[in-house]
Amino acid sequence: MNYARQSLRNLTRNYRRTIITTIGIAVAGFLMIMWGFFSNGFADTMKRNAIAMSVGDLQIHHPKYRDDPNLFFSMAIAPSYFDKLTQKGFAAAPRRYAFAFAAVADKSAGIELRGIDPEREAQVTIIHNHIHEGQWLQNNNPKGVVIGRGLAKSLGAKIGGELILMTQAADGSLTSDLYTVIGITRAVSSKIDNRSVFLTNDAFAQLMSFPSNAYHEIAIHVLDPNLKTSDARLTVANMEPPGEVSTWEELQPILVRIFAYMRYSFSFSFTLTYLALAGLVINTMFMGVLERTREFGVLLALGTLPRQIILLVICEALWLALVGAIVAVAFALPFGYYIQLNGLDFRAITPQIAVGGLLIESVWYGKISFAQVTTPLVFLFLTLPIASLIPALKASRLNPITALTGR
Amino acid sequence: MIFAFNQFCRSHYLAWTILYAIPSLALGQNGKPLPMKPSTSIISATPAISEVDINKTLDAIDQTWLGSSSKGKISMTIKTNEYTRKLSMDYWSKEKDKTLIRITSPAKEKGTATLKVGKDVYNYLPKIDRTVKVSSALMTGSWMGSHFTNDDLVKTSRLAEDYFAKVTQSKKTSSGEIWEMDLVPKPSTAVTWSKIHLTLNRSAVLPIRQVFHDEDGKPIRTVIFDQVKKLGGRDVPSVLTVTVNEKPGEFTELVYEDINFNSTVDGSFFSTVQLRKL
Repeated sequence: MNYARQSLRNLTRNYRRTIITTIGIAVAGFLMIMWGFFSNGFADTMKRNAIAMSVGDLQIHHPKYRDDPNLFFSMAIAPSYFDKLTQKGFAAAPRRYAFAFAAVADKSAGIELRGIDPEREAQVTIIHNHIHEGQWLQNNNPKGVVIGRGLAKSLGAKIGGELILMTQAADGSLTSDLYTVIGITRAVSSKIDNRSVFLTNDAFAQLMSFPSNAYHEIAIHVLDPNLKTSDARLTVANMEPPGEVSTWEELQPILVRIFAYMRYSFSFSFTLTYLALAGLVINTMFMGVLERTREFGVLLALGTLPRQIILLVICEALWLALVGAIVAVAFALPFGYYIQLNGLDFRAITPQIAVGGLLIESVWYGKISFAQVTTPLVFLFLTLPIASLIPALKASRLNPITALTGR
Repeated sequence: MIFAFNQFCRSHYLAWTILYAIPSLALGQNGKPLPMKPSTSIISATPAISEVDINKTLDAIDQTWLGSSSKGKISMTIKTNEYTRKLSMDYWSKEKDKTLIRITSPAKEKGTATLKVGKDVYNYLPKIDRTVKVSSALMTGSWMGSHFTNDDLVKTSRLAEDYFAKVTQSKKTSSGEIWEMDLVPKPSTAVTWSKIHLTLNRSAVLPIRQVFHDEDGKPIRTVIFDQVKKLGGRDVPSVLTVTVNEKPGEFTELVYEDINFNSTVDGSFFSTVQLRKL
């Protein structure tokens, strides 16, 4: 018996039933593929935001700085070092940090001063794109500062308004100065939103009586997307760095755990989704076989062996899986490509929020990957024959007389 | 936010005696008082030292630098592992809840002033001609870059009223009777110390040393009172030095150069407007 031809003929004998079953399988496949796209894109976006927003792929610090973020644990860095990094395929942004006191009218708050080089910072992070109101820092406007949205709210600070910064300078003296708020960031992370004031490195040095070649941190972005972070770290470490080189995983272990947790959560939800869809498929196959009791009775009466019945049903399941998979992929790929480019806009429902240092966008982008397409298809090709096995066994054990007469 | 600022000021803890030593500035720190032993009264370690005697002595210690109003000159030397700086200041005070302190040197910081009225603390910044109010969240921040906190200026606590006191040792020396005492905060006293070990000269009724212990009983801060002089008609320790165990080699030293007790200072003097006029 040519099982492929015979099973295909069986399917075409009742087009309506076959089409309905195929649609059910295609919908299941489509949902699984799209769920994979979204999960992939969601996780990828969060990870990218977390790293690219402010951390960078690598950072360099004074050996004692990470354990004790002391103003005096800085690194003396010559400008030529940045050129060396650029030649090796790294973008680098020097940073300075200090704790200070910010005040607007009669409101005050403890904050972290963040001195940056706006031009270099834009090559390493994307924070300059996350301005809620106003504009980002400009090197030619040293008295302009950018603050987080939460801080702006708690101080009552507005664009164009005055901000007082007061702190203890590097020489121990009390120092203060007036600045103008030129920008307010969107939700980035709770630390940046509520406790950070960005100013240029030059303005920082002037306020803090800080050496012009000293920095607390160099954030590095690896320009080659195929270079692993661990390999990039080795390269930078071999370039006589002015301090200790760390990867983003070492700097943000909580983020690493969050992403691992997300992967496990997604895997768990995938499993549940697949199980639910498997139930749908099993039910579809079961009903399909039950409806053909008389047909199987005829086949058995004509001498078809029980194992041949089983193989026929399994082949039918494979045909259905194949057609369903083709239909699912045919719809999923273009739609997936669209949401990869344009995303799904939920801004009318939820704003962009920062939770635990992670930014959750209100526009969700998908990300197509080979695994996200093939995994559901493999699942379909495995599940459908297995799902059809029970009804196939049932059909193979039918009494031909009972099947034909219905008694 | 408090944590971040505390990191900056993590070695700048409360030194209640220092602020208490600046008339009308009192020491204390926000925090939950620890569960106390069910002592209901001051316990004397030796039968010969009565509760009344201990009370009177502590009350006298509390009054060492107090007057209904006063003014004077102090200098403060702050030494850290990174720098050493010296400030000269004028101060005015009225009762316990009004204080105004103004830096007179060095030139870079001249005119910077701190005003305390009740629980509010303000800083005047002459360079930008602005007065800022220190929010409650920043009270644990460093005052003037020293090892004191803004909260030290606000809180008032008195040994005689806010602590259970026990004399653990009494000895007679050539300079007088010396008491070693353990002071444990009462449940209602809002400080984070579990204990203050006080050494005082009972005969002169002057403090010699205080050691502050944290919640685990570990000593974290020491204040030494030295160089007794007659200032404003009273014998007072003119030099107070606070050291922090966590930061060996660092200290803040306060020197009283002049005190005028019971000087005439009007209450209206203590205002934010006055900060700018000085």
